[in-house]
Amino acid sequence: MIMNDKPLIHTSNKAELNRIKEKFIEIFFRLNGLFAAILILLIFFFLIREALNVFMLINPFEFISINLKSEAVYEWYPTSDPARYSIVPLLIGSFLTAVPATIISTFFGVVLGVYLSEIASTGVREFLKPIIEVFAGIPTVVVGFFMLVVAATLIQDTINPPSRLNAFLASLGLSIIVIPIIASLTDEALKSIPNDIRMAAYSLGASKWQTISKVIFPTALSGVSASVILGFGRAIGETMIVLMASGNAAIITVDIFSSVRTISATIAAEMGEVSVNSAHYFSLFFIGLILFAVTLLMNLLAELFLNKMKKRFHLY
Amino acid sequence: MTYYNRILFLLFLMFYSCKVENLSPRDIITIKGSDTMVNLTLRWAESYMKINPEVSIQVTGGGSGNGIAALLNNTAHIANISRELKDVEIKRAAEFGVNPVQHKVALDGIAIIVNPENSVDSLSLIQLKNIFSGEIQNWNELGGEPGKIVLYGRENSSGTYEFFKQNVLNTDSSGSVKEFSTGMQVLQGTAALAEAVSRDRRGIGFGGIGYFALRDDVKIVSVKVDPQHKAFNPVLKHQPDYEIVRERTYPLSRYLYIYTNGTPSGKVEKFIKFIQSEVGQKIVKEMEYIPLEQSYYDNE
Repeated sequence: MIMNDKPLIHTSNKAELNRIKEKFIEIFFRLNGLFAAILILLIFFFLIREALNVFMLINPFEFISINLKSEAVYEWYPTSDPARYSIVPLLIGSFLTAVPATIISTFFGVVLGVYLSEIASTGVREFLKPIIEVFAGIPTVVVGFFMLVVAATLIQDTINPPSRLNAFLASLGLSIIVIPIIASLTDEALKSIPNDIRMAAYSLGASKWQTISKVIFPTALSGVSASVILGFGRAIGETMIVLMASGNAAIITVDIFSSVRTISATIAAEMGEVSVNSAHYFSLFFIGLILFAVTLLMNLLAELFLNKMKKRFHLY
Repeated sequence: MTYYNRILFLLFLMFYSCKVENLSPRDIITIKGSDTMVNLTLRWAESYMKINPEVSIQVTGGGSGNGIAALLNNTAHIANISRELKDVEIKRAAEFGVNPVQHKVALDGIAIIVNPENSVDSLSLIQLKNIFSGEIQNWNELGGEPGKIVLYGRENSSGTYEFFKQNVLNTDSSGSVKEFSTGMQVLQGTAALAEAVSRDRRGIGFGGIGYFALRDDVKIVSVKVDPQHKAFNPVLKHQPDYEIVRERTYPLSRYLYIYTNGTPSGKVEKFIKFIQSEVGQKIVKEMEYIPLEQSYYDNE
């Protein structure tokens, strides 16, 4: 009887050990996931807490304009006396770089995406796609440096704008980063459309161009829109390129060839040397929160469009 | 649950083992004040601590005003101040029973640069004020080739910005206070600024003297107090003319100070002696400020 018992205990021991091991791995992964989520939440709460502190020191309306000598002034002069915290020139700056960048990138990115998905042969696609994705991964400081030194001179020699560094130059730099994002996501959106639809169009006698423009593209429109919105979110949040190429003058203008100052560049440039817990310090967090809200909204919108498309084709 | 407890315990052990026991208590010197001087002071502190490992020096910025407050509240041994104390501040110090003693530690000077193709050679302080506040917008008003003036400047949190604002925009005979023009382009660092001006025929910018001295691609403009006065150029044949800065005949120059409560003694005195020594002044030069005496500069 004793002899019979031994192997039995042995196996159950091993099973117990395996169970512990699995449990341990499970806990490890759960802790990791939890840790990441908590960290993100904490950053979010920190941002909100620091941003809301500003209202103890500054009237909320001062973020739009301040009355100096009974005249509404829209200026960003946080270190002057009296300090001026109007976010208007910064918002204009952000949009004046991100919107043109998105327009340029939408044109080239969508065309490139359609080419990759519908026209290019498998070989070409396998070759081009990784190259495009590498472009999205260029360090933005390198792009910024390129714009500052090479592209700025090129534009100065050809267009000769009033200021060497301007919103247009920055939006060209942003396009280098955004085009691959839009191209890649458009390609995926088009690829996710079931092949039956393409075949149905061809069998009805549609040409390749008709199939793409009348069938595939309209069907994937929400996916393409999502890619454009994500591209815009990236453009408005991008810091290094605009910091280096836009000239950073906080002026209110609609002239794309004038120098502008974006929210992201303002935070990056001023946070390093601001004295902690001053009104200026908190106001930088506040404009950061606004930027965060804009990009969050963009991401949610994109998610919405993507979900709409997924539901339609019962994907995933 | 027991597994969680075990893991928690292990995590606790892990973090606890990271705790470093305090080494033998060290002499601590606390320094607060000017943001302009933070990096310079950090360099002094690092070199000093290398020679004197028993001393620990803590440097924080926050502005000259913060430095004074710390001195009054006795929370710092040394206050870094990039200007002279105002009368109000000295009075306030007396109320706190603090006797601020001034020590000169370095000099700081700002040069005005334009593109080498620009024909303008000298500018007065009043002209500079009108240029950087956006009132003079065309080079032909200054005797140059017609063309819109493009302003290049530094971040509003940088010491150079503040110095330029105080010495050029805020003071003149009429006592009017002006702001930098909103159209001024803001660049990160003196290097980017010099780069931009060197490529922009209509550009004008400002920055530390030492930095521009060796560059061929920007032209350093002479500066005069009034149109009638003699103009001084802080750089002669690629050599910074530190003599006119030290004599304060060049208008855009200032001393950097540290203040202590009463005459310093012991560790603080030794640190200040170090700063004013040849080694300390070499660091001043390395950080693109101007050493107190020419002799430190020549002994290469």
